[in-house]
Amino acid sequence: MEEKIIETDVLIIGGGIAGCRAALEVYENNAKVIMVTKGLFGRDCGASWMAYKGFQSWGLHPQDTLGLHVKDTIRCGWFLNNQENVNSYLAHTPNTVRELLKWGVRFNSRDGELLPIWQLGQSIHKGRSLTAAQWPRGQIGYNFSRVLPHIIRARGIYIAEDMFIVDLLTRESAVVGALGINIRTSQFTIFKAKATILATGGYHGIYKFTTANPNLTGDGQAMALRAGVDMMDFEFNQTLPCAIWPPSLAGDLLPFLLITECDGRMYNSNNERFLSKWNPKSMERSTRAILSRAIFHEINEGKASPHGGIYTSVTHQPEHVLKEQLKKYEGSRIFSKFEKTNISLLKDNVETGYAIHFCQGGCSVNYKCETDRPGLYAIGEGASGSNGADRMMANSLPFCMAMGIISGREAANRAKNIEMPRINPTQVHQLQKEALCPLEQQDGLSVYDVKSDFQDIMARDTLYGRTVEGLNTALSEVKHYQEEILPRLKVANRLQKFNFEWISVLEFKNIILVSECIIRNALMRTESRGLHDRWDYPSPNPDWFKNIHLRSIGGKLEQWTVPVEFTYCKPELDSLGEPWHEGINVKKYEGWRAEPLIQNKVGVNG
Amino acid sequence: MGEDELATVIISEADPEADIKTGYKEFKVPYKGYTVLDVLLYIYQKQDSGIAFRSACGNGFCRCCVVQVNDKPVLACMEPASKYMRIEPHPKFKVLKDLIVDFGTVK
Repeated sequence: MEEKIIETDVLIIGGGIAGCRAALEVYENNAKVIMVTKGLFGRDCGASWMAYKGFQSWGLHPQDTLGLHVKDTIRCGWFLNNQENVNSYLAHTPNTVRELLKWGVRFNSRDGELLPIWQLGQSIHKGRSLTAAQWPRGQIGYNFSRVLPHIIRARGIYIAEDMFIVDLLTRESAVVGALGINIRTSQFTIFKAKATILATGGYHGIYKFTTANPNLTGDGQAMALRAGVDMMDFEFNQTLPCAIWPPSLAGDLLPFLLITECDGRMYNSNNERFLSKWNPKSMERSTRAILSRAIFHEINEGKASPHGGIYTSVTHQPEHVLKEQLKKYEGSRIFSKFEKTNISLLKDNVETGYAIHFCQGGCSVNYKCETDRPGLYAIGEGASGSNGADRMMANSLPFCMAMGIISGREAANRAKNIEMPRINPTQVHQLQKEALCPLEQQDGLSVYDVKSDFQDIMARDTLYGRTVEGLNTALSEVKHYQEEILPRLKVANRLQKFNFEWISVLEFKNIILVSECIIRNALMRTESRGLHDRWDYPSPNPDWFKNIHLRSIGGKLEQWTVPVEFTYCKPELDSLGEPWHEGINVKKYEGWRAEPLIQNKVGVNG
Repeated sequence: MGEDELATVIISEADPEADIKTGYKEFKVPYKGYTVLDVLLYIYQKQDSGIAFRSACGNGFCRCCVVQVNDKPVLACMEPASKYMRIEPHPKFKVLKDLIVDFGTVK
């Protein structure tokens, strides 16, 4: 097969908002930058364009400081965050807001004053989450997708679309580029770069239902693992309630909106409001982790709906109240799909399960977004450490933007100070050979059937109610898939153009590798904390203020723990047991919207 | 599964560069409760992986899966499937392969 070689100072893999912001920063620091995206740039790259609600920033109110924002983030993360990273990233947020306003992102405001709302975990009463203009109809991610990609294009930054990156290229310990497959032509492309930024997002594709993009299959995590990068935090994966039936609605987050915005209630098949068992104080207004965990256990106890979920209902409200509440959603994307089904929210319940929403596992990075491999930076969901054991609401977008700025600057600096590295032709040859393997197999197992079975195993054993037995079963399944199933996957399709079946097989390899990390970390952490729910160790353990790191050495995963450094805030006693942020500040819907703020004029020029 | 529970789906096939004339492939698939995209994925995963189309978020955000169903341009992921569907690429853009178009090149 023919191959093409492209040289650049900085290579950015992934085209979500973290990747976009990094590309801009590299461009502004006068280094040559190339962006590589698996799908269409600005459309199906990652999950950022699908972000629904908030962008959190301190400084919108005089009483709200960086210190408070950092503290809230760390408390919501159950004190497992890398505190230095949190502080260094969040320091950028107010400037980012100014920048976004300048570029044309429209936040909810009145007379030039931004109107933030309060969300779970914020200790500042008036709230600090900016929403898109016309929220809830307007979504923040959509707003970003109308702005950032256009700015990138206007700068003339080269974007290689439909490019699947197979692996990182390394020389000695440094990362010197990547090998890609151009999906449009099925040809290999070699990228040589002085610095590489991983902005590939999460691994939502491991589970069947996701509120994000199912094309996110942990490619970045898997290639970093294969390159021997230090990784961590794979045991924490966030889910939230989603619709599961009919199939056209599967993964839709409407039930979660009904719960948070329309006073929705959740019932099991015995018609019990089961959250009274889990969190009688806040009921349906618990964190997403608690809601999903409660749903999981209800289903496990056999109180499931016909399609294996529970019910979300808003029918307890009088019709005119409900109609008024639903009115604001008219014309929104999420709602328009719902209207085309035969379910009426006024009369019917919505069958609800849980969908994966955010993945915390990724490369372990420092406050400069550097991994332990020279020349490799990781940002966004591909980096771990800033969210700890649970992600605070509305914090992912500010982190992505800040990490983009920091990594872009660092990568451009590195590029100025080193020569173009040479690649290792033997490695390229070997990687190409491995990638072409599945194409030779026309008979065998269908990757889609296999993937569906595997997703069921992962959802059953590795999300909630984790036990030693369940996790060990899943681990032996992973081994079985690695040894028996992967070599037998076929590519029946002979297309030279857009051979997605081939790409799916390569993605599935990544899925299996990342799944092993999730299971191994979940086995090692003998406590329950944040998003990690062990049935056999149901409470948090003060001995576990540690992150579990992983590294692949000679194809085997090695794990070790590193205690968290409490640079900015120390855990308090009340952070053990019931999470502190469950009980406080949970208000009725009417009180959720904050007062207009007087001193928050974030002007265009600062 | 009864015959009435299956939809007849006709999908346009084209490769402009290889100069293959536009043809159609026919499939019988379940459709009740599915979107057009679900039907396409069902065909791709269970019957014939030789058709090319884009699918991504599945929730109407990314606008990748835009196609023309029975002469009406729709987002495949947001449109309920019907009993008889003729699925073609969006007419406004240049076709790259089957249902995949180049959004950068308007005809």
